[in-house]
Amino acid sequence: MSDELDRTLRGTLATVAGDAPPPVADLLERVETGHRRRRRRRRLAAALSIAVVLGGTGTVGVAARSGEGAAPVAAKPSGLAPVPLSGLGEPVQIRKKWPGAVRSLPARLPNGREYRPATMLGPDSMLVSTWSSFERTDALWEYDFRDRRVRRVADVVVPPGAKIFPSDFTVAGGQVVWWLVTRAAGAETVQFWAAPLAGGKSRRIAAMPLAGGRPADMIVDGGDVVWTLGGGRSAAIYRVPLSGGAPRKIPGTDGLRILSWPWAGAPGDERSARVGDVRFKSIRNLQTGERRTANVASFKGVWDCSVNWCVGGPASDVVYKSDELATPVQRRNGRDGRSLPVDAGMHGGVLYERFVRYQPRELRTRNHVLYDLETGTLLDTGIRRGSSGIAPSDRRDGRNPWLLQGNESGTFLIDLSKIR
Amino acid sequence: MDDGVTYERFVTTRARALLRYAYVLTGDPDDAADLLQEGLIRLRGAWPRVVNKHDPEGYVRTIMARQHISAWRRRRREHLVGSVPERQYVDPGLERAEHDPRLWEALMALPRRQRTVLVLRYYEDLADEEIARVLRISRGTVRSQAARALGKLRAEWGPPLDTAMTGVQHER
Repeated sequence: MSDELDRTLRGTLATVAGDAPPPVADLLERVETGHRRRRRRRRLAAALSIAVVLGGTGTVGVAARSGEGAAPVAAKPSGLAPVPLSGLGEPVQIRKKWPGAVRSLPARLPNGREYRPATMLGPDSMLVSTWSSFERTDALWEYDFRDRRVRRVADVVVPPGAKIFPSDFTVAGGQVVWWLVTRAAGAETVQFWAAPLAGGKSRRIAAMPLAGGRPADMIVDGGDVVWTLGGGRSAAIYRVPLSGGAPRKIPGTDGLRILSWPWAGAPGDERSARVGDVRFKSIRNLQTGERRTANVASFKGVWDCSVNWCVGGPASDVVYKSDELATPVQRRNGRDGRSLPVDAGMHGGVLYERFVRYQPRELRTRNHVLYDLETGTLLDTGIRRGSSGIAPSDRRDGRNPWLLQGNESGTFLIDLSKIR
Repeated sequence: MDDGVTYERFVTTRARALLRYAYVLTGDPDDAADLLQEGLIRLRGAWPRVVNKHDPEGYVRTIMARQHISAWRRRRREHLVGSVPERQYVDPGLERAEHDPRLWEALMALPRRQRTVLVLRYYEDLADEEIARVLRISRGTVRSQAARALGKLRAEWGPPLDTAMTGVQHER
């Protein structure tokens, strides 16, 4: 057993290593830029410390001592009020205060099959997928987990040459839509498929050549399927009618990706996050043309904005000392800026335009915790932290109140709209 | 004195292998790219000191392992609610007898330090003493971390497909 595990571990690691993408073309250049920036900073720091020694106190000394005290922020950002852990109060137990907000999902469908949640269909039902072999989705089901009933919605056809199997499903207007990628003669094609939610045959509605990246943020807007393709500056937003046709780029969306439909914005360079970057700084409503720009405090890190809130995180061009790490949050309009105690990993962006996953390093809990941006309170989900869980493919959508969290003992569904 | 290996040449010839290493450490292409870049920036700063004494590759691999464990990198993508976990690429041709995607998933679910210990032992083929030096922990800690990690993998991975995915309960 042990030998077999050892051998399989070696084989698995070697195989996975072979799947690693190639290094970026301008790697040397990026490294050189990062190196120069760091050297400059070191010299500046050395110069500052000399100034402190020579000049005694004064403004330079104050600036150099900003790491002191409760504020986990390196530089002094204007407009970010430091909040110590004690200022957050005891986490509120979600399950006690809002019974019904957290539910536990059965591990298998009533028919005994394992499943993966795809998207919510109602308060008690979700669209789920099953698979015939590893990752090979074979069918979609409507699963009513209150009454423990399951209904087959559609068979998922996986055409020959499929390279990426269907795993991203979205539902609207009585239709469920998904995409997959095929490869033939070295060229990749993305295909979009749909099936009636009421049950029926799945059909291919569109296909287009895939050049870099894969579809993301797919949603249905009226009678059209809309998605982002590509990343960084080469991103753009496309649409195709549900009834079929040729996908077309939405004019003026070069460099944009869907943030929360109909809002779109420039995600910036998603590979390297540099100090001062603000992801989705400027966003545009693709239906009304309204524009909004984030007006956030500067800090030593990177902002990632949703439609209404921005959350800060570390940049990748800085090596932080532990007391330099900041976890700032601020409204896009510049109000309510605060700097929270260092987080062991705020991830996933803003949920339901109101919550973030937040794990203050010094908070003693083994559960998943959320932070309510609106009320400033911590929320204990009562769900033990463990291995990461499955999540529905609901993409960035500020209106989606459903949060799935798994651990070793099962999958839990959190209805964020129940938290008042 | 100068053995002729320039920094540029080192990066050009070794970046690919180093990125593969970063990828098995992080399990995510973007995090792997970040980790590689960070390692190379540090190596760049230390190049004049490093190149004559030690092998630059060992230096940068050590930096990357340590950097990977340091806590601040665990953020964003791991639990992103908006997307299904990165597990869509399947190339059945790659599935050899000793490769098991389920084992990879179980590996990814391990705490970062335990996973790193296993990568150093089974991918880098380092002895426990060397792992201890790289991660600046004691040999006893290396052993206990590895034992704990292997125990979890064994519990979650057990080859028969049906028992592997259900009802796995273990003490925390």
